[in-house]
Amino acid sequence: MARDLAIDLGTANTLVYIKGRGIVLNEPSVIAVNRRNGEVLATGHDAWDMIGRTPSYIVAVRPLRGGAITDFDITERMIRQLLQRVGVSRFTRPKVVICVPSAITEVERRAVTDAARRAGASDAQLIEQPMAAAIGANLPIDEPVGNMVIDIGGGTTETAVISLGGIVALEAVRVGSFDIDAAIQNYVRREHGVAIGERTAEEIKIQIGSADPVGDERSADIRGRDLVSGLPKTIRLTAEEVRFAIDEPVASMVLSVKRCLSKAPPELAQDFLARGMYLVGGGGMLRGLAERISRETSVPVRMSPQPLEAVVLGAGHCIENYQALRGMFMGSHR
Amino acid sequence: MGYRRSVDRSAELSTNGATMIAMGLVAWVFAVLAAGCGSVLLVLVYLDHRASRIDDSIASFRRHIDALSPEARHESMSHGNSTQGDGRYF
Ligand SMILES: Nc1ncnc2c1ncn2[C@@H]1O[C@H](COP(=O)(O)OP(=O)(O)OP(=O)(O)O)[C@@H](O)[C@H]1O
Ligand SMILES: [Mg+2]
Repeated sequence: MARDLAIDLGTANTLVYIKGRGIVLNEPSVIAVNRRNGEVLATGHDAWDMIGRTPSYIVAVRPLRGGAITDFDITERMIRQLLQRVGVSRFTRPKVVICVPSAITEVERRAVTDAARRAGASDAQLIEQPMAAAIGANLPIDEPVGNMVIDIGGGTTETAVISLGGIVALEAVRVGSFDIDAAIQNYVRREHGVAIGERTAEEIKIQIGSADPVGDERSADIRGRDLVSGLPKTIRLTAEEVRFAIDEPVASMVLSVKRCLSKAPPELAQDFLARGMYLVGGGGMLRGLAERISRETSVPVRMSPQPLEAVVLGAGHCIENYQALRGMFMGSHR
Repeated sequence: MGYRRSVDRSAELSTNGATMIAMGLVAWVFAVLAAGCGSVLLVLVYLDHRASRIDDSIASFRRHIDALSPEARHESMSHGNSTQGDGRYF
């Protein structure tokens, strides 16, 4: 029998939820391909281990980076691989719900649904990430009150106001946690003359990065390659330096939240003040970010207890109640 | 003899004509009645359909909202605890 499934095809992480079973897969959205013959060599954790460490004929990439489908062919292979791994074949033909960034273009939309159908899905529907996040974060979106959800992922920041099961206001920018990693890389290169890889930059972000001053300000020793001598070099970075380095992408995220607030009907403003906004997504886990958003908007911010899983759980709920929640899918009119 | 026959024929013709006119009239009356009944029926069917369409949309909106209630979501959300890996890179 076909087991219907939901996929959070994130720019950083991919999660799969199977109807009746829950989350069965959670891994980085990375694929390693042999440049010479186009063969897929690895996906997920294995491919992630290869980033920045491959010989020239292998390329390990995040095909969805930047919240846009930069390479249709590779994206399709990734979706096909994913469906095969969770047991989808021509004979099972399940229904599939896929979470995508709300700013996805019509062409990208078709590419994702076509890829899922070619991989064996009998029906492929898309759902906006913030909508799925609001369902998964257990917000009372069945009531006529304003619920605000902020999803900060690897490549996108999406903020939505949801009431009575539908989106009231939406704001999405293609700035995410990867841009913070890139800002750290650029800063270290510019100010210390040292090149570091994206994985090191991410480690720095998680270890000592912050969006607002937090209690314990730490420093870290970073190893990279000296740009002049070409030799390995260790430097010391302070939390304050990192905060300065990442201010631009952080400010863009906060601005996007403010824009969504200003788009929402005034009637809902008091709901936000009373209930606060919900923060989901791995990028939202950056230290001091909730505090900074709250300080700049004067609205309380709460972190969802399952920030990395909220989106796929929300989509999973849609697959459990496929008929009743059809109106949630992109392209359906509710 | 020929004359009588022709008189007979004309009388026969006139009764035939009257019958035909009467029958035509009856057919007309029936047609008008049928058309009337038909249109009343159509109007009734349309009104009923519209009412049931409104009922349908109310019911489907209800189902939609009910499926989003915290009780309905409880089961799907409880599946979240079986996660493999933590979604982070290391
Ligand atoms: N503790 C942390 N502090 C800061 N950033 C973190 C932390 N943990 C994870 N991240 C970042 O969160 C990002 C991944 O988040 P998430 O899995 O929500 O993204 P995604 O859903 O794949 O992306 P998108 O929603 O943009 O498509 C990564 O860039 C990762 O570096
Ligand atoms: Mg996401």
